[in-house]
Amino acid sequence: MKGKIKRDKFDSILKKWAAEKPLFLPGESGLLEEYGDDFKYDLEKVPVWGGIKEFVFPSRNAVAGKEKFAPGPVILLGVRGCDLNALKGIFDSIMIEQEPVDTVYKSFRDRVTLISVDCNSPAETCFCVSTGGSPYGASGSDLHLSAVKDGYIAEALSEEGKRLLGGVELDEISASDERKYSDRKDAAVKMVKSNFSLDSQKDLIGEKIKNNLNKSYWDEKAKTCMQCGGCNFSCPSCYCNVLNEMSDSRKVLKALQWDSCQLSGYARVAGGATPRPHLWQGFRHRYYCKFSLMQGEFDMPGCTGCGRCIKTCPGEIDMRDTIKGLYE
Amino acid sequence: MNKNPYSPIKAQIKEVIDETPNIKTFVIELEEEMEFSTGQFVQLTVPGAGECPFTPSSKTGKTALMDITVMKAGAATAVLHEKKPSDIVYVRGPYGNGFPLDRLRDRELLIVGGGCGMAPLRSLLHEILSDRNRYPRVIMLYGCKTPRDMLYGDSFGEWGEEFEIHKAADKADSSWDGKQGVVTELFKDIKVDAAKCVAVVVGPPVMMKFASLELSKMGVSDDRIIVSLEKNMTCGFGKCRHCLVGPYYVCKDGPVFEYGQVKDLPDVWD
Ligand SMILES: Cc1cc2nc3c(=O)[nH]c(=O)nc-3n(C[C@H](O)[C@H](O)[C@H](O)COP(=O)(O)OP(=O)(O)OC[C@H]3O[C@@H](n4cnc5c(N)ncnc54)[C@H](O)[C@@H]3O)c2cc1C
Ligand code: SF4
Ligand code: SF4
Ligand code: FES
Repeated sequence: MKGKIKRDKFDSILKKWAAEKPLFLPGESGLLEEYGDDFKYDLEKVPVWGGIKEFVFPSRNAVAGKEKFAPGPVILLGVRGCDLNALKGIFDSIMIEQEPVDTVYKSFRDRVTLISVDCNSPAETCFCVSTGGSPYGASGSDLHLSAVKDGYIAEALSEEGKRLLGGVELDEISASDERKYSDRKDAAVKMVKSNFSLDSQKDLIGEKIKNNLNKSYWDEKAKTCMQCGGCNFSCPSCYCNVLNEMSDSRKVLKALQWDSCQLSGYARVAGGATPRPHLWQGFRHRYYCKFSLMQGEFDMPGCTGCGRCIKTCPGEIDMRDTIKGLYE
Repeated sequence: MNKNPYSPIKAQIKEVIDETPNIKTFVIELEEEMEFSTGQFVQLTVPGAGECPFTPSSKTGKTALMDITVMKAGAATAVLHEKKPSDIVYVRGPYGNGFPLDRLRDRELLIVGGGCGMAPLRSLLHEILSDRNRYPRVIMLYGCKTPRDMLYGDSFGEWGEEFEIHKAADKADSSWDGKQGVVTELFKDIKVDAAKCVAVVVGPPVMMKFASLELSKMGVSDDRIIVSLEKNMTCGFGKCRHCLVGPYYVCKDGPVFEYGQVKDLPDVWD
């Protein structure tokens, strides 16, 4: 199912969807916020801060001691290719496809309807093409929207997507819509590539990192790292977590909370020993994990090139520089 | 329907055995039976204090009763050490691969244990005793800090009748009937067919490292040295990434590994 939603009808459609389930989309702040009266949205803003991770894998939530864990269904609009890749290729793969099924994750995952949009004006931090993605990625989405001059080309990609488009009046897509759309696509891909491109060397990053245990290289790159963990927390591909215990003798309650491999206590074992005592080792581990280990496990790197970690880092560390440096 | 993998089984402490000044064995009874094999581990919740991985030290199989031998090592284990019979804990699992029994049978088996590493080895010894004919020769080398730190002292008499046992204490005293020194000193006292024997080494990381090196020197190949790693663990079933050593998840690819798989990985013995 595919057709054009005219711009002047778009708001009434948002209202209709929002009446069904809470609808979240990028507001002026650049965060996903709940749609309401007079809501000002900005579907062009990238990256969407926080992305969709919080909705499917909350920063802290109970995982034992209750019957039901996930709140009710929501629609997330404004989802990007980089988010979808991480969600499908990494989160679903580890939490659902690999035994045992994380039933708590699944209950959160099942509650979201995903409406993806194109990235027409990628940020200068975006490099999704380098990591195997695209600013037009829609795989895994329920419904995809592509902005054209007078509206959106809408394509249903699942039953839920079809259902959403069900009551919507769709216009014909014109040949000029198609042509302009395809030109813009090329321009965006070019722009993302110019931000950072590794081309044929892509598959080798993991090996490069694995074989580079050069303390001075990593020390230099990690010079301004303050081990805040922001890079991990903002990342749509990171899922490291730790369980917190809140039981008493009558009832067991556990909360799962995001963890970060950049925090010094991350791999600590009893007695205080830690396998990566120096900052450079922990710093390197993040790269090794994403480009070597996760590449091996998921057949894609643990980085979808969204650039959030670059924007987040208070030490102004740009992972592209760290990777480029490996080739110098 | 899939079960919530984070949800543990309630268990009651039946008995607390003081083993050494800082090690106790807790006999616990689970509300539901659990089937585990030797070398696998469980995650035990100390209510309000934390959750820790432990390798049951008792006889394997489908059981509601389980011995958990615990060294007081930090916050959660300190609270556990205060627990008394009838107190409640929670257990989930079992996790991990366990010892590869098919590779230990019908050979000369050399068991090297130190410190709390004796917990999983005790369950292995139970296993061997229940299938005695398949283990023609068993030699055990055991090391502890001082004679007071010797774990399962009461069982050594019985084990000594079945197996060849050599003991060492870092600091011996007049009560000690073993050697003085670290466990690797004991390798000098034994004669094994290095080309055929299999070794199982469990203990503190440094001990596993040096014992494995020693075994290599003796000519035992890397795939016939079996070690059990201890890494930080949260989930126990492959979802939190804490336990990664190189490409391996210690929780599901291990905790039992061939020395050859892990010896060259950067952080393995730290
Ligand atoms: C597979 C396996 C089997 C084991 N079997 C046994 C066994 O049979 N018997 C036995 O005695 N021991 C066993 N251990 C070791 C045992 O699990 C640890 O001794 C136990 O977890 C210690 O917990 P603790 O809270 O008392 O120690 P602590 O040192 O207080 O904490 C241990 C854990 O808590 C976390 N932690 C604590 N403080 C911090 C901090 N400041 N910052 C970040 N994180 C922190 C870390 O994740 C650390 O790993 C086993 C370990 C593994 C991996
Ligand atoms: S590592 Fe950085 S650029 Fe890559 S997916 Fe994570 S936040 Fe985005
Ligand atoms: S965001 Fe930057 S400063 Fe913070 S842990 Fe990551 S690399 Fe270090
Ligand atoms: S303990 Fe969580 S992945 Fe191994």
